[in-house]
Amino acid sequence: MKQIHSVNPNLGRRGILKAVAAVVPVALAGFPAIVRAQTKTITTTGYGGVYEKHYRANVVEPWEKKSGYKVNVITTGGADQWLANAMVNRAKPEIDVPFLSLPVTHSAIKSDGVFLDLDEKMIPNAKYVDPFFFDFFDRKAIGFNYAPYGIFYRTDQIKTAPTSWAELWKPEYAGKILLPDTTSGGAEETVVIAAILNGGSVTNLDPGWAALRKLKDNVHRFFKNNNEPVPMLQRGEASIGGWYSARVFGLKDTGVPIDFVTPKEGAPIGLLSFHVARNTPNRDAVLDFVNFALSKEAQEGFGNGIEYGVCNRLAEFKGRAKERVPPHDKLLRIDWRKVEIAKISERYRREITG
Amino acid sequence: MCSATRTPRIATFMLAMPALSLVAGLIVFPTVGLFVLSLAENFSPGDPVDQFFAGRFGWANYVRLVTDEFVIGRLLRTLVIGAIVTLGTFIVGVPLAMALWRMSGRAKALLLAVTLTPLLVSIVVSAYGWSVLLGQRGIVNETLRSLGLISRPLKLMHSDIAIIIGLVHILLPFMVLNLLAALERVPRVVLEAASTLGASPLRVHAAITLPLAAAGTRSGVLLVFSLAVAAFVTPAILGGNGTPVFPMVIYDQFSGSFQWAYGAALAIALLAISSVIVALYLATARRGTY
Repeated sequence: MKQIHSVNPNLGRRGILKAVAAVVPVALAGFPAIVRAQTKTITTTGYGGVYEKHYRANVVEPWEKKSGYKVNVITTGGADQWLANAMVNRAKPEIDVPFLSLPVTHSAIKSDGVFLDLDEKMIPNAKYVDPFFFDFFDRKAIGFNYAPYGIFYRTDQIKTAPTSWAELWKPEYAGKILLPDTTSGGAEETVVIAAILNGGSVTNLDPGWAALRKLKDNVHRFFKNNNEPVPMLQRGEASIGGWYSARVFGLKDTGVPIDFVTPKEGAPIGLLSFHVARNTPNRDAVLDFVNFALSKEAQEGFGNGIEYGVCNRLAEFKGRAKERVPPHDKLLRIDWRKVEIAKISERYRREITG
Repeated sequence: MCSATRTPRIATFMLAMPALSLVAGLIVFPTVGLFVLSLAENFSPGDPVDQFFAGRFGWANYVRLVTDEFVIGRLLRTLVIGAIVTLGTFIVGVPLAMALWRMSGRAKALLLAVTLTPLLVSIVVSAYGWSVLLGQRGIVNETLRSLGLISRPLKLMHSDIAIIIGLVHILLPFMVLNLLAALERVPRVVLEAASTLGASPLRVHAAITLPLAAAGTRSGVLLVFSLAVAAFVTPAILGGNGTPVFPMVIYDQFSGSFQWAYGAALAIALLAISSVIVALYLATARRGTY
């Protein structure tokens, strides 16, 4: 496969013309699938940076070696765009197995006819996955790993570690808080947390909306992606807020005085999941890939490497990862099936960050 | 010149063909498609084509738009930002274009190159550059503080002010190049005549130079305004919380909310409104001087 990507440095104008002449008729005839069939490739999506590093090393590369397939991991764009692609190309999927994140996943499982219903016969390792991470998707997708969403704080600016989500509402933190916008994950969870703190629930969010309307003027920034908080925390412009654990620890490891706590009410999770395109021509290979990703071995390697939670119950954490990853029983499990998460996002953009 | 007018019409048409087919294929056709989509009343992304055309069509999305306070608010704010950015590039651009016009040789080439730098740098990079300058502990705030002008840092970053500064910066070349092209066509003898007859330098420029360069002003204003109201990346990086400008609201409909038909209606509305503004501007500009 290598030579496909190598470019002959002596390739002159004539060579390029020849190459173009050879490619154009194929493209015009609409047979890009030929290329795929020859190279035995499956296409999935993924997340860049340190996530990609551990995902490739523990999931993609070992499976490629085992299966002889090549895995094309798309890291440009985001879950919303990948889902849109899957919906538009449902008859001839371009992505065999979109790897999606909340809240987009819930739009995904509600779109009929796009993805396969999964079971333990198709994915034998599913029986070792904590049922919550499977039922959560009505078994139309299966979880791979989770990122706990908890409280971070600058240890030089806040002396006593916070223990409850309610502390974000303390007046002394006005102007020092960072919370996510709907594009960076955690926003909808924040609404549910605010509701629970004030006597509501996932199906009764009104107390949460009221509490967040009060909080929003204290927020320094509703960050649009997970890179935005980095310089603000390095410069000490913000001192507390809600964020994913591994992001906080990543920053801590660079020397920023910051720490992460799992609040007593629990940490909601960002959950990444595999959604198998119903009409993929590579169904068996894709299911084998998903099964491999959920194996104890792949889950342990990935979880210990990146220090995120994983969905296989048998996976064991060691050393630092054990301290940093809240176990399954410390999680705040929000059942998003009971609500329309897209409406929460829309309202959040209009009433809270807007 | 004469030979050009004698060229057969078909040849002229052929010369314009590549550009025309690009416009037709990449602008007209998708815009018509977007308009059709905006009329769909019960559309969900990925519906097969036959199901799409079997669905209901009407003006429901537009009715929703005009009653949607949030959307109308963002639309007005975007138009105001566009107008301020246009004015800003004009105020900064006129003296710059005049300086370039008077210069010659290497100095002119150098200043022109400097003027064009915003076009050479990716807009993402320049927006992040501004975020360094405008941050709470950025150069602007630190300088003001060390001069004793402010005691607490100003909130410059993540605000409409940051959007305006960022857009003026990247759109300035469009204004300057248009102004300069028009200025180059102003016959200098006319200006000399005015000075000889006793007009002050200011009066010469106000009464003669700028009116003669009106065509350049018009194209500069139109270009900058349309680019400013459609800008997405700069406001996304420099702007405040949520979706400060209209193009971001449109993006959210397609990407976050999966309400493509409503998003299409918003896009068509922005196109229609900016077209109307452009038409009104052209109508008044042609009647007056500039």
